[in-house]
This record gives sequence, C-alpha cells and structure tokens, in this order.
Amino acid sequence: MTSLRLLSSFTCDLLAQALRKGGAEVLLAPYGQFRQALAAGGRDAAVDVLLTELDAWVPDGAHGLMALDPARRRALREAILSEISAAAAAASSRGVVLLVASLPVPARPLLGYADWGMEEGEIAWIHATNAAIAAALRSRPPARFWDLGTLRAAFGLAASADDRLRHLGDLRMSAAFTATAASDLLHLVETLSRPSRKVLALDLDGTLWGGLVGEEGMGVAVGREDAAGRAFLAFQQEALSLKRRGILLVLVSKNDEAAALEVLEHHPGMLLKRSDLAAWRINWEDKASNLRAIAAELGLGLDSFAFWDDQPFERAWVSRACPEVAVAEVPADPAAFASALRSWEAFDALALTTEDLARSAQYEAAREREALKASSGSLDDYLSSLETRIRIGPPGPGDLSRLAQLFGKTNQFNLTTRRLGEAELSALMATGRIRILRLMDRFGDQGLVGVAVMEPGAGVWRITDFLLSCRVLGRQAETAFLAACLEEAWKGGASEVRLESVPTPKNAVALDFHRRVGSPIRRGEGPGFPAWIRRENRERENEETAHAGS
Amino acid sequence: MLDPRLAQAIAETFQVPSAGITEASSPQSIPAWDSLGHLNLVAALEKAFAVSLTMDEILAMQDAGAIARILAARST
Repeated sequence: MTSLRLLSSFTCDLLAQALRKGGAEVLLAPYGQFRQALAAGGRDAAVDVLLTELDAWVPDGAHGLMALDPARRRALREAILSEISAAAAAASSRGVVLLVASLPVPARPLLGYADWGMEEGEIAWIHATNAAIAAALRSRPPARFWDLGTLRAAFGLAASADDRLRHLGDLRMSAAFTATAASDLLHLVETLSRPSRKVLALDLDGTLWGGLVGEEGMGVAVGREDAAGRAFLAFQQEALSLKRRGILLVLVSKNDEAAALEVLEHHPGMLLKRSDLAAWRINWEDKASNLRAIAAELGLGLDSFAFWDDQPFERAWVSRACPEVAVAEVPADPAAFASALRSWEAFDALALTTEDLARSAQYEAAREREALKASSGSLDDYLSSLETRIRIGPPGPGDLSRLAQLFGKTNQFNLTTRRLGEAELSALMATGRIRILRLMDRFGDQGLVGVAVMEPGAGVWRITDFLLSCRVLGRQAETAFLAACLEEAWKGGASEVRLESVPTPKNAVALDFHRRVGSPIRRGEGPGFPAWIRRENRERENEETAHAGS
Repeated sequence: MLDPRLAQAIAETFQVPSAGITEASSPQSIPAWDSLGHLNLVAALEKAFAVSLTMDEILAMQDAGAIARILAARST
C-alpha cells in the first residue's frame, strides 16, 4: 500500500479522504504547517506531496504578487525556488520522494487583458515559476513535479475550485475536482514504483483500420482520404511513438494471416508496417493463448503486456484469462482512439525506476540520523524566520463575535471544549478573566487566534479554558500564550495554576500539550517563553494586567 | 416525514441506517457528521437534488429538518 503525506498551505482533508478511498495510506501535516513538516525531517511516509498556492509564498496571493514590482516578483520566484530546492534535497537524503504540485493559474488574472502586457505579469509569472520549479526538481531526483495545473485546465479551471468551500474551510479544490486530483496523484505515485508495460498488443479489424479485412481486403479504412481513415491513422501514429520510446508492438488478431499481412505491407494508407512489429499471432486461436505464446517468444512475462482491442468480449476474455495483462478501456468511437492511447496509464513512465527507489532506501538508514540532527536546527531557523509577534491581553467589545466563533468551532486545540455562547462570554468578559492572543508574522496579521479563561483563587488559580485556532499551531504560540498567562498568575499572587482538560475525540493535540506542560504548575515552574516569539505591547494600554516583554 | 432522498443522502454520507434518520438528526446525534462530513453531505445533496447551495444555506443546515426546509424552498 502506498503511504503518502500531504503538506499544504490550505485544507486538504477532502483530498486525503479521496486518496484513502483509493487505497492509499494518507498522513496529513497539520493545517498550514507545510514548512514545519518539511523542516522536521523524518520519514513518516514514502512520498511527501507539497501543495501550495500563491498565498503560501506571498501575503494575499495574487494581490500581493501584483503589488510588487517586476524585479521583486522575480526575486520572489528565486526565493520560492531555493526553498523548494532545499526541501527536495532534504527529502531525497531521507529517502522520501517529494512531489511538488504546480501553482494554479487563475481562471482570470487580476489585471484582465492587461496582464500579458506586463513584464512578469501574473499568468506569465506563474507559468515561469512552475517551469522553474519543475526544472529545479529535475536535477534533484527522486523529487518530482506534479502538474496539477494541467489537470485543472483539462477539468476546467472554474469548476476545479469552489468559492464556498474556500470560505467555509479553506479548501482549494471543488468536490468533483478533488476526486480527479486524487486519482491522478494515486496514479503518479503508483508509477513511481512500477515500471511501464513493455509490450502493446494490438488487434487489427476495428483497431488499426476500419472494416474487416476478411470481407474488404485492401478496402479497409485507413489513411488520409476520409475521416474514418484519419482516425485510425492517428491511432497508428500514437502506437509508433510508443515504439520509438522502446515499447514493443505486437499483433493478436482473429484473421487469415496472409490477407492481414498483405494489408500491413501494401495498403497505401498504412503508417504501421510489418517491420514495426516484434511478433504477431494472426490465427483463430483465442487471444489469451496467443498472448502467452508471444510472451514466451519474446521472453517476457505477461505482466509486461498491455492489450488493446475494440471488441469488448475479447478484452473481457483476456482480463479473465490473463489477469496480469493491462487491458485498455477502449472508447466506442475510433475518433477518440489516439487520445485514449496517449492517456492510457499503462505506458506512463518516469525517469525513475524501481532500482533508483531501492537505492535511495538503502542510503536512508545511514542518513536518517544525520538528517534529523541537521533538520532540528533548521526547524528553529524556520521558526525564527517567521518573525512571530504576539499580543496578549483582555478582549475588547469588538472581539465578542470572534470569541464566540472560536469557542464554537475549535476542536483540535481546545483543552476543555466548553461551548460558550455570546451571552456567557459577554458576562465573562465583564469579570475581566478572559485573555486573548493575537498573532502577527511576516505574512501578516493572523488576528485573534487564542483564548484563555483564568479563574483566580486563594493561592490556586485555574485556567478553565485554553484554546487556539489550528491556523497557528506548530509554532509554539500555545507555549508563549501559556507562559504569559502563568506570569500574570504569579504576579497576581498565585502559588499554583491548574490547567484543566477534558478529553474529546478531537482534542488529542491539546491533550498532548497538556501532558507536556503538566498540571498543576507550581510557582516558578512551567514552560518558558519561546525565544523566537516576540511579545509586543499589552493589548490595551489602560489595562495593568499584561506586562510587556519577558 | 423526511424526503427519502434526503434520508438516503445522510445515511450514505455518514454510514448510518436510514431508518433512524429524523428531522432532529444532526451533528449531535450522528458522530460522523463533523465539519468535513458536512461538506461531504453538501456534495451528496447537490448531486441528489441537482441544486447548488449557497454558503449561507450550507451554514444553516444544522439538522435534517433545516436541510429539508432549505431544499423545499429551492424546489418551489
């Protein structure tokens, strides 16, 4: 079973669900924490999939991009490239295959028709950046580019996203496109570990030409003269291009051999010639037996074979009798044959072979410890590079609805999961016992992202509620927030603080934090303030509670 | 009486028996009906009823009864 880890700047839960339905084992890095997950190293899954959109790299996405001048847009591309290159190098040293999805092209650029008139316009910038990412990954195997953008385009750009899902939960793919993306990703991952088929076995009548050679002889339809002939010709062209890639072409046909070979050699419309064929069985035997005979002749296993026949019963028979053979889903209309053959996954191959994968797995054990050691340093580097600033203090009247929203919706990092409504919160606010956390970083103001409710007592203070938006997890904002709350409790005369917790099916992350800090916390104990977070001035000047700095 | 298509969509989305689904069925009574499940349900309903729901409607679908009312308002 394939194991995948999704690392993303947006919500990928629906994609993960679709991938699991397709049989993959899927891990999901915490929401928005793709950088932390990349930096943390380790080998949680065989394949890491990095999905980002513009807003992962520049605040406000396209709006932010186009607010930069062309030189700074180019500089941003270089910054993205160096981050992705480093991630690819680190992944390969851990024996992990990193797949990087392309940045999506919008259905309409911000500047409309004017966009292509600009140097480094939005669409041109995205295409150039994707091409540069793909080029960077080419030189860092086994990392690979995942061309999600072309998949979106084929699906329909507008239909591939869903504005409602984006606003409801920061999902960037529509439900229907999620299924398409999942099946493409599963196929790509499968291709990583499975070599391409080596032989294409073709039927004749209705496959390489229209009509029956037994009845029409040289009158079968193929060639440039008419529409039907051109469709079969296009199919032959595709088959020949597979041959140039090293795929062997063979024939299995129920026909009179002499008549069929006559068409192959002498029909003026035929592109494919007898000399293009590695073997053939043109007789009245069943096709499964013929495929076995050809396999024996070529010295290949049946699992190297892919079979294409326009007759459904022949395909069904081969599927049943030779389950190792890949059997094509052939469209009813010959006009679609060529495209169907081109998109048939049986011949998908990557530069990567199973040998490459095995080799990188060998190095893995030796390198893993080194990589982990090195990467723990880089996680700290990453966290400091975020330039996180926080403000902690009591809420103002304008914060009430956001508070109610956090109490109503927060599941993961919520120690007691008390669902307080606006009325209860409003009453609590009047007692001055609520503390809120605001967080800013180099990507902008993340807003009100944490709440704590403190209950002072004689010596023992309790923290009855402690919750953080999942948007800011993974950067130790919770530690900073708790440290600030504790500091306030010690100043208020507490000798001990009890951090309350109630397990729910969803708050494992919060409980884990609770276990790590322990409770009760005695005066002078408890976690310190993380070095890479800067505490800014108190939330409101007229409050004496929160003390600046630490 | 709930529209059987609605009951079926809820039952299939959350893998629960459709017989037990009433107007009162909600995220409180069906554990699998979490925020992700809610979006799956929206996709199932949009397919079954051939409608496209607005964000406000999606947010207002707090139990099966509310969903029935929203869908009924759409079909008139």
